[in-house]
Amino acid sequence: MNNKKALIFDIEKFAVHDGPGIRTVVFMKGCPLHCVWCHNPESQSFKAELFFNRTKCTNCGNCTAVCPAGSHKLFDGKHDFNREKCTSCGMCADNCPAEALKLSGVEMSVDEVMTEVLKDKIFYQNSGGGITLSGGEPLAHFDFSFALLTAAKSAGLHTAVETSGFAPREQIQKLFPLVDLWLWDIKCSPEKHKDLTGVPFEPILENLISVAAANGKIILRCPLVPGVNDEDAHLLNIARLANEVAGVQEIDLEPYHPMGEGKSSQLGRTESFHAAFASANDKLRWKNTISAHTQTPVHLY
Amino acid sequence: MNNRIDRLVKAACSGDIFPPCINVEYDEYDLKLAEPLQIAKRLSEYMESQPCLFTSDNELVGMIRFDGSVPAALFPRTGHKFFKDACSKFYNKPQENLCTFEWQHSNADFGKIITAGLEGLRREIIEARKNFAYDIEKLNFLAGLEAMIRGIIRRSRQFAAECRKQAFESRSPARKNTLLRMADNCMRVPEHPARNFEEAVQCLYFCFMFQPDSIGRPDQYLYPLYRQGIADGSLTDEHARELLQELFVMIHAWTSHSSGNYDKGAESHFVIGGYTVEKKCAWNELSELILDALMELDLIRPQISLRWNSATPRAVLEKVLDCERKDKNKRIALVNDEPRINAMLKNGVPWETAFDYIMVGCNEPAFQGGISLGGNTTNIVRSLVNTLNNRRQEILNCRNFDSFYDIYEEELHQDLETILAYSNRFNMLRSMDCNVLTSLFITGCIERATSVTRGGALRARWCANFMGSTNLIDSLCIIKQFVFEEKRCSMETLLAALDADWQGFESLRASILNKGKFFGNNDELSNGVAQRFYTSVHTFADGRTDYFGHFICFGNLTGYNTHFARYGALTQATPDGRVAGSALLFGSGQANGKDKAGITSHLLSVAHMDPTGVMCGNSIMNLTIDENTVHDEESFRKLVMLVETYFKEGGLHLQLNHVSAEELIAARKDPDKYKSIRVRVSGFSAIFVNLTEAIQENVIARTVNPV
Repeated sequence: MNNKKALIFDIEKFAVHDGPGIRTVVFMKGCPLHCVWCHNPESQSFKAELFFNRTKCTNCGNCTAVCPAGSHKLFDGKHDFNREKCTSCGMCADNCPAEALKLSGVEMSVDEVMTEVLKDKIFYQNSGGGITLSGGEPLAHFDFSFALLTAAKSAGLHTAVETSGFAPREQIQKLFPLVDLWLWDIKCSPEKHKDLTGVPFEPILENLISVAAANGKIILRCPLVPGVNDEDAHLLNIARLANEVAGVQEIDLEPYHPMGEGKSSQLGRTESFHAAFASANDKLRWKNTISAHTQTPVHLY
Repeated sequence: MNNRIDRLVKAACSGDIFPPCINVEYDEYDLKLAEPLQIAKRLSEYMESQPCLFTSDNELVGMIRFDGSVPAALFPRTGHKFFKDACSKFYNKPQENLCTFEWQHSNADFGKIITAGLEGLRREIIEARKNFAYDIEKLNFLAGLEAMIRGIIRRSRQFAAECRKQAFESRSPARKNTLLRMADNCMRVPEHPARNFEEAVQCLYFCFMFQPDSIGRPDQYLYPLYRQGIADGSLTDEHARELLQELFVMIHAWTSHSSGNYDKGAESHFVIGGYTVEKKCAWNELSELILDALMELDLIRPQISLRWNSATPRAVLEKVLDCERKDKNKRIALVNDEPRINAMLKNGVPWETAFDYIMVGCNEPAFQGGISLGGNTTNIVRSLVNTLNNRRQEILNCRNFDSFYDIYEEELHQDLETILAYSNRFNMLRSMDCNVLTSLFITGCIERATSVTRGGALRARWCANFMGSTNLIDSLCIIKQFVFEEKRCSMETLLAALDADWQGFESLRASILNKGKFFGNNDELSNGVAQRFYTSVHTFADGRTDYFGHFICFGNLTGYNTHFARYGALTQATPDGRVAGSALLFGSGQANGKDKAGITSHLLSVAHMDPTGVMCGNSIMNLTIDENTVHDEESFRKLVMLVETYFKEGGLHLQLNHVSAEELIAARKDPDKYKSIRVRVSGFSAIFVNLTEAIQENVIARTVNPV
């Protein structure tokens, strides 16, 4: 029995890019970083939030009838949503026929998450897969992540943690025996790190080195946004990390896609970041530059 | 692919190979003959009067079409008068919004003809005659079969003569040699057993005309002669590939351009892989050669299923799925031997028959030398609608789901009874036809001295196809969850909402769509309801037989006709949130985004839904996956493991579509631009923009499972 809880905003089955085999990824809500390009903006806040997609809304008024906080109103037959009053109870989403309202973030216990994860155990067994913790930042939910990984290990699952690496060292050390694979984000050059993500790079680097020292297996995951963090110096830095940090098995390059841009406005945030899809040339340059400086396999998604 | 095959492909696709029918005046005096003898005589006369057509690129000969003046091949039902009459009343004409007739398949035992020749059948006829010494009707039937054998042999010799004539006229020494070899082949087969691979393929092609449906398991029955040829050096893989390709091209060419089904791929579906009689993996070098030969051809027919089983190596599955992802003509599907064979064994089919089953048509399990009966497309949602409307007072008194379900089960069994009765009536009507041509190739007709139309087949099974089983299960789930367990609404309210087609109950409908525990999410409630429903179907089917005494099972495919939409149009709103008049779902899976828990949950729900195996008839599982899954190598390897796990868990069938929903929506708007997109529909594939609106919507509605 484990009743530790966390706010979960998605459980994704048949995840194929987050570690070996067929996996289930558990996404925890809340992150200490605020990357400007974040494609899952709902993952940043530690509270449940309501998506409101105005283009889907049919102004039917169902939400106005059920909202206990009075945050939904109809003005001149048009839906008006006052986010400040919203308590994210989800009543409106349950009653929205057009799926214009959707709640992001449901509190779940370790047991509840494991019940869902273990439904696919047969797929993990047949493919060498398992569970991947992601977010948000799973290490920002340390107690929950620790308990979940312990439960996963005792169920015989392969475990992976996708992390920014920004967490107290002693917490990361406690996880060493529980994590089979670290999917470690390298977001941008150390100089830009504070500006683009909100936190400094140094503690992340030190944590990475400590994982390597403990023989942890690592895949470097590098979001690349054209014109923002894809300068050669950063690419060379990725290659150098792969060469110098023991245990790095692979470099995954994740080209920017603007999926998060629409999401931000649905969460009531002003759109502040715009970038284009990466071109084929960009991708080729990234891959070639890094590959020229390291033997570590580079995988482009 | 060599130039000769390339030219044949072009000829087949332009319709140049399709033969005409020459009208024949039959003798008046033959009216005095007994029916089987008269039919055999007329068929022989008819065949002899048709020109021996083949192109200068052909090395296989025998193409012929029948004009309907005499009962000929069973699958197209040419000349079957009573069948035609029955069809005019039932085909495509749903009765009481419950049941209609679709089509039926039957398959020659080509392996037997290749091995024993028609002379082997003649010996069987002589043996059978001893058992019916005083039964004039049976003796006449056997005499008709024998006359038919003579007619077929004459036709083959006619082709031999034509080959010799052309050899004499040919100026090319190479073609002359080939034609002389072709003439020798026609003198040898199908009368006598084939001695080599080439004779075997010629025999197969020639006899295909007499039952132009599935060619069954060619990788098994052609294998001994293939192995022998390779071993003694008389056959190369190159030559074997060419012969197979010519066979496939000619099978493709058999469907007329003017047929409404020309661009659909369900005819001449066959299988590779499966089990050997020793219960070993039957995949062999020839299976691979057949698959590669077919994939090289830019044709839409024949389509092919891999028979997967627990002895199938992962490399084989990967090879087949690799072909599947690259095949723009969408010819490949996958079936699982384990649940299917288990269900057959439970129904008394011996292993020696069950291990050798095949797939035919869209996706109907069948036997070589056997017939598939039933084929009735049925509206399974009607049983629930009847429960809600005709048993209203009783269900309003129900305190729990169990007591509601008991009432529902009575209605279900009553509808299943009606469906079987309709089907039996239909089979009775058409059993007045007599067939002596296809009967030769169907196991049991000689032994029983009975036409295949009259119950001569030993190997058969009956199956009806449910339209709307997922709507039904979802509706039962909602009743259980909303009315009885969570008490979100009363039965009165739900019934009022359905009566009003949700008008004024939009909030309830939204809540059902958002919070409903629908099938395909691998949760306890919906899995339990699905299993309970299919177990009820089994309770009905268990031990029951059809008009001819064959075991019965069920499936859920729709054929070329869109009955799922027609039934839906006449069906009121249902508790799953469906509005009145909208199309029902077909197949085992979920759609419209109701499979929220992802692809693995969807597959597990389907794999576990039918604990008794009663749905091991014509059931299909369509899965639409994000196209990236097949483009990225790492994802593709995981897709292979996904499919393998689904089968290990008991999934019966799987076919994939991997186009994006956006692409399909765009194709509907601008059909001219997207003419080349083929999709798997219901065990067959077709050009998306040529499909009816209802099917297009169904294809789009199936959830695209992103990675």
